[in-house]
Amino acid sequence: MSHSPVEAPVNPGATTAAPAHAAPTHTTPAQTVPAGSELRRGATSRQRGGLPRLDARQLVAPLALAAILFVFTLLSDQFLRADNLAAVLNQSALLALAAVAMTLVVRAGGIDLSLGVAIDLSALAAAALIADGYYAWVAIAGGLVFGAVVGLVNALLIVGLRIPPFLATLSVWFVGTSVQQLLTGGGAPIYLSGPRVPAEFAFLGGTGLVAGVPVAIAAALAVAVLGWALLETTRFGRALTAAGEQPRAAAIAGRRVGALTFSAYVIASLLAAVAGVLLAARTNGFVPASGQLYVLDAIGAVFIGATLSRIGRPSVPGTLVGVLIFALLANGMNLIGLSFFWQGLGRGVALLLILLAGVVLAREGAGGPLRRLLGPARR
Amino acid sequence: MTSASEVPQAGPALLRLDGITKSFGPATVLHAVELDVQPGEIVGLVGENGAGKSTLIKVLTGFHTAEAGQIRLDGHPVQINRPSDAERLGIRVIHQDQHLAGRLTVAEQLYLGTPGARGASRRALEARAAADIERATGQQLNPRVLVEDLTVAQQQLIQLTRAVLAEPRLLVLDEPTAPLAAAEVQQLFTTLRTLRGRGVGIIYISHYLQELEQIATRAVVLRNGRNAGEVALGEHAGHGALERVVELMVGRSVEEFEHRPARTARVGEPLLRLRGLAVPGHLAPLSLDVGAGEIVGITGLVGSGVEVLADAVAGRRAHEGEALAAGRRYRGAVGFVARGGAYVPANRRRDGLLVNASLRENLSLASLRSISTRLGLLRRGAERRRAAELIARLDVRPADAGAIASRLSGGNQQKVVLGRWLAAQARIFVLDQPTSGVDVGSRSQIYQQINRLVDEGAAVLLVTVDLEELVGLADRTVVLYRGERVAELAREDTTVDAVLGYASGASHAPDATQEAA
Repeated sequence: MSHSPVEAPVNPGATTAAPAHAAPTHTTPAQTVPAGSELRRGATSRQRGGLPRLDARQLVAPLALAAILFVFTLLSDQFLRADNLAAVLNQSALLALAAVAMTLVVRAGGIDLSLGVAIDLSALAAAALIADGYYAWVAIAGGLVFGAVVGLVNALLIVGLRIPPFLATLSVWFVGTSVQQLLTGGGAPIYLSGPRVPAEFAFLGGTGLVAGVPVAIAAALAVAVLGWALLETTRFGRALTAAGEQPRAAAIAGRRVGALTFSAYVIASLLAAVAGVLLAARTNGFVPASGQLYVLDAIGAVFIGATLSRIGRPSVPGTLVGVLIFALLANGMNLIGLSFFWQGLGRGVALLLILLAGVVLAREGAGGPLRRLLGPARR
Repeated sequence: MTSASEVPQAGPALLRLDGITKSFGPATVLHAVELDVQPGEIVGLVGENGAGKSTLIKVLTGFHTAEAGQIRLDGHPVQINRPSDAERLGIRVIHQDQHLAGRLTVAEQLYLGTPGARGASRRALEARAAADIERATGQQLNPRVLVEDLTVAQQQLIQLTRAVLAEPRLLVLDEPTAPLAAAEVQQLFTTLRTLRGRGVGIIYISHYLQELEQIATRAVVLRNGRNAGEVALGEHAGHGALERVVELMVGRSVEEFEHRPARTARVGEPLLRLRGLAVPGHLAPLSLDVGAGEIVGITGLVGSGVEVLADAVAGRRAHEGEALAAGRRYRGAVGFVARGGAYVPANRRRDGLLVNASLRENLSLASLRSISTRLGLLRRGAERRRAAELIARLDVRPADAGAIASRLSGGNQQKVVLGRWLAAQARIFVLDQPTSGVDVGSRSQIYQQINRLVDEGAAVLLVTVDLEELVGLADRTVVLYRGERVAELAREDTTVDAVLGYASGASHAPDATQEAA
């Protein structure tokens, strides 16, 4: 909708339907003010007084979650047991971390395919530093720094060089995968033997409980709450959302779109680095490219979560619903004896059905970040 | 009021439109309109926006069917029910600003759908394209370039070549010179004169009356869907022919136009100063002060520079020269807003509104600091209260801060964009086409708000193509023509006629350009 200045310079208000013999009835804007009150009433009486707050499609993902719970409870008597559910949560904690990070990036109008690289590089750094006998805190800090570097590179490519996020992070993903293999002598895993692991690091890896909750779950919860608070209750989150949805409008309103986008990628990679450190601690080492398994699940979870919003906006609570859907689906399929190979199918079908239902139920076409990502290029 | 054409009439006219009447629903947009074109004649068709020019051309080219009236070619009645009928009869149109999209090369676009082109080798086609373009337009174009990479002016060459190759009997050009530089305009005119020499009849639609005078033998003026009159141009032109055209277009004299009563507020110190602000290729250096309590209007046709001015002032487009807000230089949109600037852009849904966000989010976007704590946490209560106040002040319907902006009418959306700047307590307003696509009721409310802002000491730069808006609001009006300031009119001199005269190049103000420097 490009604006066409002065197709014709004069008075669009002049009515073409007016009888020509009528004296010119043009009034200046100031003169039309008194008449405005009547006209206004006419113009707005057609509008709805209030707008519905809940769309049918917002219920699709929660219903899917309920259906998964229901079906697997019927099919397996172990499914609904507390220890099983606790294990599911423990296993999905790292995905939750990655997905919260992805939520931030998608909210900023982008996508981060290199999130797995941030996870892997931070795990690699942490594991290597432990293996070299450094203190746990050095290893943790090193891991976070390595992860953040990935985000910095992304941000420079996307904000500085204006490369579309999909391509920029795809490139970083390729490069990052190679870097891991080069640093590990062709992809050899790093294993930390028991005695060399500091107690603090082992604490992160699963021995530790925070208020009775395993460290990974506690970390995921904390990050989720912080991520939610950042997006929904702060100036930063508000501006970031605007910059992601309509960069031009946000810039005109005086928001620093570049800086906001930049920080979104850096923060996301930092959160991914947290997942990376926890991964290193949990596996007692580093297996190349293991973090990359989380990226696509995280994207899926974010877009499932976005269907919870009436405007298709991704949010942390929605993303967590997406994570739970994936985690419970995988767990349930395991319990009823479907092999690992079936799980991708299950995940894909679930994602597809939820997004499809969202599209079918959408009032005015699927808007929001999904369209932005998959639709034709803007600008 | 009609001065008959002095073109000698030998034989039947090439084209004669007789009593063309067309309605859309209850609105009749053409009332028994007449138009005739002789072979080898260029006729100007002019009128205000909505006068019926486009509809008339669409009837002629088969996009619309008239309810009444007759079209004759060479004296024989013809039926034109669809565009292909018009093409078969040798009628070709070059549309205004028609973007030739797609990843086609110049040669491919030129022969798209042309039977003879099938089977020819790419190289042969390209050689032929280069030759055809040069022959038809006198200009050169690389036939291997992608059409989407061409300027609008270059794309027009393809359209023109296509039209010439079709050997039309009647050619219609809709505002063809708007995207063209002066030299290109002359080149186009050379092409048109060649066509005229071959007996082609040409209908030439333009707001650039000065250019029309160079090329057309007469101007047929439409007003409110009727023939308002006809004025001889060119060698047959009488004294003041263009002024007469403007008069017929507007249909009322200066005295009939009333001005808004003068505001009581005095113009204060300049809040916005432009010093030699220029956008190369679009806008020549422009110096201008807008004082507190003052509305300065800026207008001009397509290609006059108005379309880039607002963006440049608001820091959204690179420019030369200086812009100062409240006495201090600013850079970029962030700097402009930080200095109390507010920009209501012309493209509301892309640049103004957050269409997918709530009214509350929209209203807060430019003033997040005032509704958050020092640590950056939003104060929901304060935000809600302020949104409710603004919605009430601007009478936004629905009065629901949680409503999604895209569901509002254009007028209400614009109120929200304006409200965002009220929330930010901005003092310098750059309004670009503030009421385009806005209903009448909302329009008057927006005017009220603008007047109130100015009474409270804001400075307003009103960029608009709506001349009534200009006459009604502006304290001073600057008219741009092809990038240059050609006139600055005080409020008492600002009339639709005067502005249109300067904007179309029909009138000249010799000292205006010196004043601009």
